[in-house]
Amino acid sequence: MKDSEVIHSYLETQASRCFGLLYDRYSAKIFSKCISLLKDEVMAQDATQEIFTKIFLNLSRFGEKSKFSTWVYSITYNYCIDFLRRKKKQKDIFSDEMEKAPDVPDEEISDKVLLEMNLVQLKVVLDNIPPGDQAILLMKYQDDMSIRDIAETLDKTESAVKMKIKRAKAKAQQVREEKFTEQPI
Amino acid sequence: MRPDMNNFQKLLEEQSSLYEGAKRQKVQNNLLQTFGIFKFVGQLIDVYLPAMVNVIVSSMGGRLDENEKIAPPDFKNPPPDLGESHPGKISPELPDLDDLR
Repeated sequence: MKDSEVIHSYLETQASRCFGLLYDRYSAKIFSKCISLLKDEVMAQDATQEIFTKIFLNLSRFGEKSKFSTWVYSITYNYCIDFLRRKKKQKDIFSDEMEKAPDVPDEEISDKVLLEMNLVQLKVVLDNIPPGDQAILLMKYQDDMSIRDIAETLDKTESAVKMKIKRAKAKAQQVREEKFTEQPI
Repeated sequence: MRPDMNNFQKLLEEQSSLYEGAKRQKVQNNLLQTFGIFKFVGQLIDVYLPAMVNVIVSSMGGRLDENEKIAPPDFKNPPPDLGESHPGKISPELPDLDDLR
């Protein structure tokens, strides 16, 4: 049964079976993203519950303009970013720091640099870059979201998103070099 | 894990496996409980809100109940018992002009 069919069925009948299906499909993935960004298992568990509540309360607003998974992940990232923003009292986790970061190289860093890291390295790298950069890399490489979808999720322009991806890749590369200089990739 | 997954997707799978058993069940139960409460509150509102509105309107001296609405008079088809004296058919008697002088 496709996601859209389950959603229509849930909206018509409010059946807990439909809720169960969507929960089984997405809860673990939402939890995984929350744990990546919040870095705390208990907080990630609470966040998963709140995100699911949000999803089901707003299910009738899902316009099917994008895939359901994209919509679900958008809610997840925005929830985690808002949570971290409140926690750290940061004005904007995604603030454009390009002007403040002149050391970002002009040439494009290849995706290969990120995709060739093993899981241990990737975890360390993601844990040591700002949550905004981490979220944008997860959207691009974990969820295969298009630039347009990322821009919609973050309420930014497509060119701003491209710049942020470039900057996030540069930071990831920098952390990898700092932490794993003696180890082969 | 599928072989065509990249390292980011493998990380997702690995972290997802932390969310199994009791944790998964606990969150699901909490959610079902929350939705149950929402449903109950929704039903309460459905049942009691119109009644509450009626009480408030009545206490302010208004009338809202559809069943108690007074039908407007039908001047074209007067009820038979009113006959010719129905105000829609015959105007009130004009005062005698002599009395006015």
